[in-house]
Amino acid sequence: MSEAAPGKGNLAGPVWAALALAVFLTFPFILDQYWLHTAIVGLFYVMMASSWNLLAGFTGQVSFAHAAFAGIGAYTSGILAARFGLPPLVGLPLGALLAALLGLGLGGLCIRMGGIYLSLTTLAFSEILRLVINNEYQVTRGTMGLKVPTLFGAYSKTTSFYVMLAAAVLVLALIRWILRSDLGLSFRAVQNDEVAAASLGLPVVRVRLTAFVISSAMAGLAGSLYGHYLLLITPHIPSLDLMFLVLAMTVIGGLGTFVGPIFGALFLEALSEYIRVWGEFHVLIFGLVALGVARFAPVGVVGLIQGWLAARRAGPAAEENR
Amino acid sequence: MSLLEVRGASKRFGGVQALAEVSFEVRSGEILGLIGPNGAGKTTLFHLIAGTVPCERGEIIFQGRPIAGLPAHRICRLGLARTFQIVRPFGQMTCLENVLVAFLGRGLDKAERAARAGEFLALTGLAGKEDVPAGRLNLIDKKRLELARALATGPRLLLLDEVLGGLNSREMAEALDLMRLIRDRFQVTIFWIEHVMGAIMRLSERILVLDQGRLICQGPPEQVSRDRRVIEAYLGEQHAQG
Repeated sequence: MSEAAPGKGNLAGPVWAALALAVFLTFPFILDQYWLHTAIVGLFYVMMASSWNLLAGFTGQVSFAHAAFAGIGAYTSGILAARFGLPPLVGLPLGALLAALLGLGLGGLCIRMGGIYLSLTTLAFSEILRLVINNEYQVTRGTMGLKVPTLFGAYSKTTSFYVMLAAAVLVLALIRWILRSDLGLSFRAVQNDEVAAASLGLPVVRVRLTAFVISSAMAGLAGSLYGHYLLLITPHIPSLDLMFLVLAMTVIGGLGTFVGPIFGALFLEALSEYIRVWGEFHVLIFGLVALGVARFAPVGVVGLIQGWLAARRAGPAAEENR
Repeated sequence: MSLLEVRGASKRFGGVQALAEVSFEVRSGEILGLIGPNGAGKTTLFHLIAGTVPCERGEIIFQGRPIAGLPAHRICRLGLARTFQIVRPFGQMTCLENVLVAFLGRGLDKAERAARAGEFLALTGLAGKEDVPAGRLNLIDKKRLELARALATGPRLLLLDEVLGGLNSREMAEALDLMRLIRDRFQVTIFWIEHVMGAIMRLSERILVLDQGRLICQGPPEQVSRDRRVIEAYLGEQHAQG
């Protein structure tokens, strides 16, 4: 978690970020339509995993409602556009706002319980939402899926890619800023020891609720963008399948690290294209790998690499001191 | 003038009466000691006062305000800070960050907070360890960090729960000097639990004695150490008779 500490003239982060962004900007020119689609979906998962990590990795609240909030974002702007003709660009912030409000309600209900009860309540919320979407056929078109328009203009994978990239950069920049702000410090204090945090004057419930609302709004935004890209919103977005995929991406990449979920999302999304022939079994495989990582390397792949790099940097200095 | 007043505080954990009808006051500016055999309810009393554990019965009045039932963070904001007997550092955060948490939401700018956090670390003997993760400190340094964080919240009343354990005689003398300094320079009233009998008797102006959840004696150290009930509680009835 060293990267969340205030940087002292450390330029490595921004340089890597700029390089990665430059590479991504070239994708529409070098990738075919199929891989460009994979990149767009990958960016959706980057937003999902990173915002879930803000909640689970930095405040220790394991919510299973993250995909549900993406679904709320998607169905809000989707229904408003498909049924009432509202421009998706107006529906998009409304979707994020409704996700934030429901996050406030659900969080207010279950955050005081904490731990496993938070997880169970959010799991139940997710299932309730799925049932409502499946059964309110006339509004949501259930499992048939709801046809929705593009975010703006004619359908173009290149435009969709840049929109998704801009949103992902925005979400990541916001998370980075939060982690380095006073709010991030209070998140980490609450995660490290909530009793000590309260004894030093931190309103623990409010801090956790803030994380829940921010994270829900980000999921709502991601889900809404994803829906308008797919042009068809199905209950797959607010499903536990998608939830567990996001969880696996975050855990394998590195829970509680900034880069971990980004890496995990892109890597697993690309990998799942290669092993598509296995059908839905890939989620099972990812789940098993995530279990293994959580058991034997809780810092994830990125955490392992960071630890190794830090040891290498410290190594020669330690030698000299001897 | 009384800074803190506790009237009839009681706490029950299942079938165990941890505290029964405890009443006393902490006077502004004093160093008040709290002693008693293991399991007497000393730490429970601190938990109740600081709001770490809810107070079910009785009144707790701090600076004229009833605080029983308030959440811990509100009580801290009113100027009542504590340390924990079983230390609770933010293990994955640096020592500096640990202290910075105490300044959150108090409207100081970043540079001022960092400077003041550094001062509190230096005061408690942690200079040079600003960037060390708190989880890597040894137990004594973790206790120092507890003290630095609690002081940084700017308390009027400080509850210290066994901060001297494990110190050698030189460190002990330094720690006692530090406590006097805290009281005199920062004008902080100190209410402390300590098992190191020599130290608590030497430094405290008054002593409270708890036994099995009841307050059995209070007064100046020399009076308390001669009290028959106190000797009984510590050594058993036969010694008191003999």
